[in-house]
Amino acid sequence: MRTVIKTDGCEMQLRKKVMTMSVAVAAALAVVHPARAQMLDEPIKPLPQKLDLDARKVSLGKLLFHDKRLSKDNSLSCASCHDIAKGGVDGQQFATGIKGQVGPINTPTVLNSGLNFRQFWNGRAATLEEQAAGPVHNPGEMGSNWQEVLGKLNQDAAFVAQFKAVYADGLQPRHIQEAIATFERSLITPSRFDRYLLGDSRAIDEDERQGYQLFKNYGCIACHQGMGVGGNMYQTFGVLGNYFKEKGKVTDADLGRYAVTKNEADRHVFKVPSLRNVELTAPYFHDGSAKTLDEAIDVMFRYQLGRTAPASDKALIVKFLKTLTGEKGMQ
Amino acid sequence: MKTLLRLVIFAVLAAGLWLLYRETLGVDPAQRERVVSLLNDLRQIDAQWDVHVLRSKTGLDKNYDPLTQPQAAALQVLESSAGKLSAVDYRLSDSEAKLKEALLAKNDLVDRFKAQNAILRNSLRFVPLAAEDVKTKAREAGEATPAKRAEMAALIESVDQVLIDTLKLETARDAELNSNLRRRVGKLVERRGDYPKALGESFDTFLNHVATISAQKEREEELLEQLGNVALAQRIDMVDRGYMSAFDRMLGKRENYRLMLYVYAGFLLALVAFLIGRGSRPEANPAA
Repeated sequence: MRTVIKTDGCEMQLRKKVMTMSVAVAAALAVVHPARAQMLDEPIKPLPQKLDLDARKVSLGKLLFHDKRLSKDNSLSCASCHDIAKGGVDGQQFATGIKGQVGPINTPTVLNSGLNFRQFWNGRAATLEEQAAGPVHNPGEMGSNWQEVLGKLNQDAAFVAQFKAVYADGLQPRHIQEAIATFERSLITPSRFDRYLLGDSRAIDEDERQGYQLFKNYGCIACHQGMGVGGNMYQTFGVLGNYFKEKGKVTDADLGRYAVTKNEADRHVFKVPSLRNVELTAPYFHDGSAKTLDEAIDVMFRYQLGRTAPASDKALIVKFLKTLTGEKGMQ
Repeated sequence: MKTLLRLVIFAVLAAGLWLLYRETLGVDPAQRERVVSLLNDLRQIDAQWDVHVLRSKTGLDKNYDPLTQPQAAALQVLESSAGKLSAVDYRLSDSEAKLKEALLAKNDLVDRFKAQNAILRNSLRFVPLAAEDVKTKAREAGEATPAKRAEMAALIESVDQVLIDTLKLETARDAELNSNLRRRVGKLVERRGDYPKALGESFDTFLNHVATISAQKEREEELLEQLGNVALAQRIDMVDRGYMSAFDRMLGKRENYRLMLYVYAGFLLALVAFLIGRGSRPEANPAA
């Protein structure tokens, strides 16, 4: 039997109550299940909630990533420079190769590298698979080659068996590259800011929100956007000021993409780095010249944005950048 | 000797049968579907690029992921299609190479567009604030003397005009407007030494961004023209047509071989029947 509320006033009141209750329930659900709340439409996009990767290849890749037999003298693994616990970098200005050789360029982070549209600072590798072969063969890094690596790995019967369980045709350079790349693709680091983007408005505080607004207003967002907060385009280092002229001695590493294309327009053009975990990846830039985030932001304002900002604004931007640090402990 | 001759004849006949049979297997219909699918993927990538270049240019796309994703997909398609076309017909290798060339050229131009568009949009967004900063400082400087006030009023007017011309560039595709803007900027730069020192930094920042917009706008026009000139869609169509006609030729050839196989098999059957018939015929009675 249906109860009919005859008086208009009562009906209105009931409707109001129902609406109020609905809103309250919706708000409560949004708090309890933040992921179901409204996803924000921002230039920065949240990391994928799920990765479609072969777990066996990830495990195998993890072993290889930490395997020092990939270097000529068994002294270095990929993890020696890309220390996952340190934000996927070594914390040094320049990478150190076998026999203590100091390289020409800063180590880019391996975390979230699967989101990069190209690999290396100058984008010379199109994929992580291609990238994985680079340091192994570079005389200044691991100084080895696949023949040597396969020779050493083939002597390890347990490893060979484990490898064959994943790749039926056994140890092959392309399989090693694929396994390492698959492991690297698994290294994504969801942060508080991702939760904010997914609709959890309490994931970041007011200062951090203001910092994000300033990050957009000042134009940092023009290059550092998308899922990777960078890593999806190239840009000239020194758009509105000549960074390299003021820096002085220009090295081969400073040439950027020019070293790959030999096109004059690509001189000092670099892949825009991802800002995810930027709090952990000092020193900054391809030349590791900025020791702190504050220094890095100053350089960006001067040479990329061609404008100045009060210290208080920069401090808020730093606060925002720290919300991009992965939340789950990096193992 | 007779046995050896029989064996040789048998081997030749069997080899003929096998050769004809092999020729009928030369065409895999599933391969056609795969190539058609790859070419359709490329068409879609090309269309996505065009759409997202325009959306990025107008600021509708808030990030470059939609423009970047087709780049990765294009490289994957290129890798997975490598050699598939020329395997069907060597004459397609030229079309395949030209398609690859066009795809890489467009990919490169998209990369350049992203970098250019980021700079242009940033400066366009900031330049009104930079102009306001110059005008505020000019007003303050103009309060010193009446003569200075007139000079600063003229500067403010020039800054306004430069700002209007600069913002017009955002929507207009006008080389003359850009060259007029450069002339105005040139005049302002010439007089930089006359202006108060307090104005210096704001003035330089403003003009730096105006010059950047002017240069990037020109670059944008070049890039859009170059993107329009990359005949990727035509190259895809060319490969599609070439592949289809090569495939049809192969199909026709296969049908011919199939027919020849049937005829040959019929001949062999007849031969076998003849030999069996001859072998089972009763020998003539020598006593008769």
